[in-house]
Amino acid sequence: MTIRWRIFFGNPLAVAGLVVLVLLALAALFAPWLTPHSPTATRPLDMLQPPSPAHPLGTDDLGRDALSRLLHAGRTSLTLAIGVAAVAVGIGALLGGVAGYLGGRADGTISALVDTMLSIPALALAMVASAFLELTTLRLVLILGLVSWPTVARLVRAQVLSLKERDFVEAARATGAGHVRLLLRHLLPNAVTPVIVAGTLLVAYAVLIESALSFLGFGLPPPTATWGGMLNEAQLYYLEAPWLAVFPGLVITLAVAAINFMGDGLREATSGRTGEA
Amino acid sequence: MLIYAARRLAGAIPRVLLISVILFLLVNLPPGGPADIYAADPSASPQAVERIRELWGLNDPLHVQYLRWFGNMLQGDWGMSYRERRPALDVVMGRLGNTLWLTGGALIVGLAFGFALGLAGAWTRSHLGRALAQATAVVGMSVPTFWSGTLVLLFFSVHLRWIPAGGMGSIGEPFSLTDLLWHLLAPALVLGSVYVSQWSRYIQAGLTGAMQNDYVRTARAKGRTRGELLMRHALPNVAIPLVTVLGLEMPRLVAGAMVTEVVFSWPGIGRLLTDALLGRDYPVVMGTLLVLAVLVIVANLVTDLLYGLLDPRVRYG
Repeated sequence: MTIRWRIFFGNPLAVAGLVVLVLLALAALFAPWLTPHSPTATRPLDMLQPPSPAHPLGTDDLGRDALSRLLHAGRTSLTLAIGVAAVAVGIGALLGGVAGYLGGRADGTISALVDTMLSIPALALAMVASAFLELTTLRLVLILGLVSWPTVARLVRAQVLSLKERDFVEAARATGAGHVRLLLRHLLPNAVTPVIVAGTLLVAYAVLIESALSFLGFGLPPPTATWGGMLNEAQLYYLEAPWLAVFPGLVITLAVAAINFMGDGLREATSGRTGEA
Repeated sequence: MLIYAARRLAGAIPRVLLISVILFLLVNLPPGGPADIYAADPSASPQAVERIRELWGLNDPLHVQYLRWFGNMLQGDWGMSYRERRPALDVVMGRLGNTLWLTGGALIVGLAFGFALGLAGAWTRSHLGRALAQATAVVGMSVPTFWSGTLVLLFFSVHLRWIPAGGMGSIGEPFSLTDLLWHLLAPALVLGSVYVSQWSRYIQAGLTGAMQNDYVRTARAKGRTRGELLMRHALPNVAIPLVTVLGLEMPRLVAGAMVTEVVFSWPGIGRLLTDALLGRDYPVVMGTLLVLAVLVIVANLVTDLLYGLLDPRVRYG
């Protein structure tokens, strides 16, 4: 299975998603040069200013420029989300691959773990871990990756199960390939396309769960700006500065929708079906 | 059917056990455990901290601690809430009903609008209409509830003053069902809206697929109208896969409810978990997590049973 790019680029929604995502990523990447203000510099005299030419999205309770924070938050939130998806895909592919390949007791154990993980809300697990550990960006990526891998594991397991009876695997085994080589060189590479689709959709999921975590007050500590964290801070000023609550959420929605459209486009371009799942 | 039910129930027990182990380790392994809270108090002497560790059995090996904790949980002794100074079991159970109101309301909203939109989508033959429905669905599931909820609050409560600003009842008024439902309206709509888009998409796809079956063609040959075909012949066949989807979505519905509760000051277990974590109220944290997990497992069990009830083939599989 390969990605047929002609189908992907023939899908207007997927292309729109890609364009929006590239724009968001560029804005985040060049945030220090695009924004005239520092995201963390406080100016008490300018607190809670409504949007104006000097501060297009207004200022927050400490007089920080909301647009600067929004763009810088994009760096944190997008990098985090990609990291989370990478960790989840790594763990999920490995465990799912082993479960599908070995079968028997290993499969039973891993599948039981997957089922169990899926029956606790991932957000609740992440909240507990974040509350009890001193949070750094790396730790947050690991925590969110550790609660998100089971769906990938389930997908890869199913893929490997269906692949391992195929002739090319039999041929490789006949030439003397061991378990590790069979799994890493022959089985997992053939499961890559569906995993790319799942990984893309996981990035969207990670943006949402990280924002939710930050909104609830369990995200990265201040003064780091994240989209969810900005919404959390805006809560106290609904009456004086409602605009602070509008834009971060708008950007989250934009980013998540863009990634979802792209993921759907990729799914269509790999499965060959044009309908819904 | 009874054997099938018993088998599903037996399958759920190891899951509860495994979850209890994971939760126990998650809460007890990181530094900053219960005794450390006291240790952080500068007026606490090392001897006093040691006495607390001894008294609470925190010096025992981890598996001994786990077995004692789980045994106590089973017997209904969930420990005392540090913050509320009453049994954690009472604290958690007192909030559970409120979360059920919210998730139930959101389920009804999601299913009602989901079916309406899904039917409309399957009814229309225009390509544009379907593409539009699909795009709306993706955008709908991309909107974070904590943001849409905030906007609803800002506009309809703060600005227009149409709806209450949160909570489950008007202050100073006796409890009444209408008052509760009035307060439930906005949070249930916000939480349910996430699923409207997802489920309508699913229902539409299912209906479109079912309409191509032979039995539908037969019915059409007998002169049934398009509406009759959709409602009487295609719709029942969407119910079975939809039940599966509902079951799979339960953890996310519960997670969504947790966030929605915080936005709308709804006193459910999601808000309880947030408060308990921030206040390091360990007995309540453990109790809440276990209740959340059991909630999802019970929901999955109900799904399985419904599945067996709707599709006789499953029971004898």
